[in-house]
Amino acid sequence: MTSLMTGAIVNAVALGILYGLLGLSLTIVYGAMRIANLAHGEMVLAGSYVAYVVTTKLGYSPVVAIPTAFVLLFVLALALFAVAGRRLLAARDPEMASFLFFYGVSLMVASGLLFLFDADARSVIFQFQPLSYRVLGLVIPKARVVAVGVALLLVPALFLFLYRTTPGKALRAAVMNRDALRIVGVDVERLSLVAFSVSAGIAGVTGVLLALVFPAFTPFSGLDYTITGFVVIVLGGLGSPLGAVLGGMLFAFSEQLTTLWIGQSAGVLAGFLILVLVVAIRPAGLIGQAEWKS
Amino acid sequence: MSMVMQSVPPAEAARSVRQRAPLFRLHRASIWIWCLTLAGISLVAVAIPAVSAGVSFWFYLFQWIALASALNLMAGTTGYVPFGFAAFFGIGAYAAAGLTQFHHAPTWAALFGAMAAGALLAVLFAPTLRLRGVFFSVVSLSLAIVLRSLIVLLPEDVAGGSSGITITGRHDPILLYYLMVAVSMGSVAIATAISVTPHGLRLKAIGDDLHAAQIIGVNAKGLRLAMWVLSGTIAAMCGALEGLYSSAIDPAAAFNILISTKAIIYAALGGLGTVMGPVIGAVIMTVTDELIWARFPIANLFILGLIVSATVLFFPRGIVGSLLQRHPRFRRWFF
Repeated sequence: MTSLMTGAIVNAVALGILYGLLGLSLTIVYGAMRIANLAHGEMVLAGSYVAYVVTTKLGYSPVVAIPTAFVLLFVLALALFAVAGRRLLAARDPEMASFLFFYGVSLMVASGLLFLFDADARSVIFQFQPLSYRVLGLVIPKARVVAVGVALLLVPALFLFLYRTTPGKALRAAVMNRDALRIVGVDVERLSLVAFSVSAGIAGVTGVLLALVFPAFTPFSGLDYTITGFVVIVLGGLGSPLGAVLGGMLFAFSEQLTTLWIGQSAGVLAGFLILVLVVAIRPAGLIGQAEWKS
Repeated sequence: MSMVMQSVPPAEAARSVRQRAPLFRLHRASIWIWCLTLAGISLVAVAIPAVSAGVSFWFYLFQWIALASALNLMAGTTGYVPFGFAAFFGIGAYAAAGLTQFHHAPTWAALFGAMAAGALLAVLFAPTLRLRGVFFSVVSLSLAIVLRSLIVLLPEDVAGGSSGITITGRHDPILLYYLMVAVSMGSVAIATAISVTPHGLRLKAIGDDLHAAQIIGVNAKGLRLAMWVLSGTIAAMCGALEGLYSSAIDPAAAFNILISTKAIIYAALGGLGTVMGPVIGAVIMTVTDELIWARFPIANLFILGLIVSATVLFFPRGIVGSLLQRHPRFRRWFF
């Protein structure tokens, strides 16, 4: 029982950091642009398929897939922003317009992936030496260690970017007050472009890491990732980077522990019930606006 | 004072007021023409089973008209976009199928059960109306997923478990088709009735500025709740009829997120917040869907996505909305 328990906790930490990364990239876009990217899950999924092509088709190490996914998604997002960014930001209700727009994008990406890779589940085939580690009587696959390791590098790097660099500070300022940001002379449109592309790049990397942890994915897994991402950031508080990481952890822990105690199907339920509970008590999310003001 | 009077002679001022005032008021004849159109559509719909080999296409056409109009009742006027709209469709389908299969209820009882289930679910979900924008959409979506998982967890003799319910008794598809036409035309008629009475104006005010509407005395919460229950009930009836029509339902199909999103897309393409928009959008998209689906199964989703994205970028107000924006004089005729 205790080893099951430690196993579940280790899993929850691993998943939590990945969910946190998922939420972090989503929250950057939402914060900077007031745009809800409903195609975020498909960007993550595209990263997973990059991992599939790089490892299973071309036979390279999954580590190669990480920069590949980042660059590919970054460039694709630049193109998407060039087509739609200005129109969406100028819409009467940018939030809802982008919600629908990106839903359309997600349908196009999903059907594109369906066309390229067929509907059956794909998995990433790779060889790590050694295949797994044995720590305190627990068998931990090396793939998971690599995924969590990369995520543990990326999250602090993102926080450094957001809290210590000028573009990062501008992004956080955009969450607080876009108009004021414009008044002090920041090019909000270029900032949005940077935010959107970086977010897509991170989404791609997250996809590679998720492919290492969850072995199988189909062209229709994107919506699940999107929903998880949204649940995570709504839990933590929209636009709050720290909230995204906390929300990811909370979601992963509730999911893993309920799965352990009650069962698989209850695990999915628990996460959403916690979301409903948090939103009912604190509509701004766990650390919502408070964090930005202090 | 006299300077002002001189600069605009009274007669001219009165004329300009007279000219401007009715410009944006709906022409009385327009309502009659619209009602006659609806009556005409109903007559054609009644005649279709006599001339057409199958009613399947027509059944789904009227289903989407009903769903898009029902969604528009909520989303178009108050600005709440429920991505979990499929929850109502699903609960209706399950209520009707469960009552028919496990309790041998007659069709009318199954439909009333579905209506009650939809209304009850809407009341249960009412606290989410405190949320706004994306928060509301995401929570609504998660509630639909929660509901689907709960139904899978229920015992098999209550809700059929993960494999769903297969209705073994036979239902006359023509009767179900007529009922769907009635639900569909009924929901459009309700939308029309709301739009031409002061309630429509109040709802528009909520959509434009919630706080300003509340300050001038609009009961925003009550109206919103009424719209929410109404649209949920209509969606539940659609689900019930579709469940009986296809006589096999399962959690994945009944709570399919595409039901929510298609209803949103069809309504948005035609024009959210207009009465005619969702009808026009649903007809165009169902016909297009039928044509594309028949020829290119894989391209179907892609083209659906393309239409959605292009609509948002180039016709953010939908077909009817864009028309009214470009040519304000049509406001007397289209609504």
